[in-house]
Amino acid sequence: MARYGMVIDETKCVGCYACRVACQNLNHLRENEAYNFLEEREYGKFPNFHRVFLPVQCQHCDNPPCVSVCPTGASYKRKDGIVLVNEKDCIGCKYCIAACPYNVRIIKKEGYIEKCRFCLEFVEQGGQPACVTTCMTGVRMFGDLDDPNSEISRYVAQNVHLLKTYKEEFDTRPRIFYKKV
Amino acid sequence: MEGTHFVFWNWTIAVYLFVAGVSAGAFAISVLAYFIGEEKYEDIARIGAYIAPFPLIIGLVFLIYDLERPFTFWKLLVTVQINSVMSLGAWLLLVFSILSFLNFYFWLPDRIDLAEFIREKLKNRDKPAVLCRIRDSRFLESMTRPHLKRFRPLLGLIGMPVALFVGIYTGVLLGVLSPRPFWNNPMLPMLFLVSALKTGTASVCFIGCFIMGMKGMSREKVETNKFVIHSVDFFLMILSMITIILFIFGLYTVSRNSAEAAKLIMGGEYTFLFWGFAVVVGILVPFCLEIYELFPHFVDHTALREHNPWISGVTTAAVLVGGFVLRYVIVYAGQATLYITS
Ligand code: SF4
Ligand code: SF4
Repeated sequence: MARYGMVIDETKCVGCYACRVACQNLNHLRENEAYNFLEEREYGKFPNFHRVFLPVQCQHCDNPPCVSVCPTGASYKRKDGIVLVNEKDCIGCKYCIAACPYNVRIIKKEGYIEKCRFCLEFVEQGGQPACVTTCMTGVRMFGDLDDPNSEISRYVAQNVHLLKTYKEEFDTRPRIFYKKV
Repeated sequence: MEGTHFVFWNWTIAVYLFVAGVSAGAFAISVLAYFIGEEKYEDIARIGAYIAPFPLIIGLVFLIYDLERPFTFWKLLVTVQINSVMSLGAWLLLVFSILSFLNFYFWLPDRIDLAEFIREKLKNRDKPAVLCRIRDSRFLESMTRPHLKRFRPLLGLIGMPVALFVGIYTGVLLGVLSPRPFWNNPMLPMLFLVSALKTGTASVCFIGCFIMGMKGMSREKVETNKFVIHSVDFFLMILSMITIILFIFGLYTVSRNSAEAAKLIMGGEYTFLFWGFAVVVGILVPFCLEIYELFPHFVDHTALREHNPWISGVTTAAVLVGGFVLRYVIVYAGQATLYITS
């Protein structure tokens, strides 16, 4: 069984927002809606300061609070680790929005909740999510964490001491690993 | 919008949390009055039973209206998700509304008798057999007025914990959300429960002492029903002051994030609403009025004051306004905070 995950190398991100636009195009989102965004942080004071961009999207948590709070079972986690919303069952109570620590869920105008789906259609055909293929500096890496020969598995094995998950305090066990500045 | 906070639950949820509390509180006070003195405090028990079902129904309408897809609300009631407070709460509310309607029916005046009415209508029929069987059944007989009163204590015993759970649930619903430091506070469910009991009591007192008491009230009733409901209200006010202090104390001490969140009501956006309405109007003003009303009696054991409906009216209206504003502030402030890590 595949176990999908992503590595995001924060040190390489230049903040061009191409991933956000690619995702919006692919998913027909309006300009103020997005499944992924950049958290911008500034450290220090001019002239000694630096700015970092942290690309955030659904972390496809292994212990997803959005799934456990959903009263109808519309939010669920697939065997391969991708967390999805079954739009037919979602009643739009928005409890999952309140429960997600990463603030990545949005309300579609059709009245259900949606968020990053790891570009399921492409991944099932053996492809890569749009944010990964579109990134010009190679910030993102996507693949099967269960396959020891995949690029991502080897990368994780080599850099394990540099990788962190985001907001670890909640024990959500994200599937996205960040290489921090 | 992304990365920042947006409001996904608006005031309709605050209304829902508030009125669910009023229902739970009215039910609880009604049962309590029934248990401590069926004859003596019958008015409280009766008014409480009459009030209880209706705020809840309004609240459910608001709750359903707030869904992005209101017409799919039935999906809540075809599944049980053990981990989801909202799913358990939906079932809890279903049970509570059934119980409160039953209680309502059990307390209706004797002349309204559905079972007798059915028996009357079917008296001269001999077909179909099912209907006759129903007519002659022991069950229907036990549902006629003279027998019904026996069910009140049973219903009270079952309904009391359910009502308390409803009061707690409205707080737990928000309290379990760990990424929201303003909500994720062990004192929140307690705060909501005390506020639920207080607003429920106030609603009973509002109807009983203000609206019905407009025409004046007999000395006997002042000394029994009115005295008890005001005393209960008074002690709940003290409790709610303590819980509010502990709630704020919790915000400051639980984590850096919640201390940050506390700023919203300590100088931030919701300071005026919280302190001005939820605390001063909701607790301190009625507290002073209750002191005026009760203290001479408590301390000097002088006779109770003459009935003045306006004092009861202002006290209870203030409690109700304060209770709503408290929910409003908490619903909005909770959404304005999200756990931040550096
Ligand atoms: S990041 Fe949020 S939406 Fe995605 S799985 Fe985790 S809790 Fe759910
Ligand atoms: S909004 Fe939809 S997916 Fe989210 S908790 Fe409610 S029913 Fe589940």
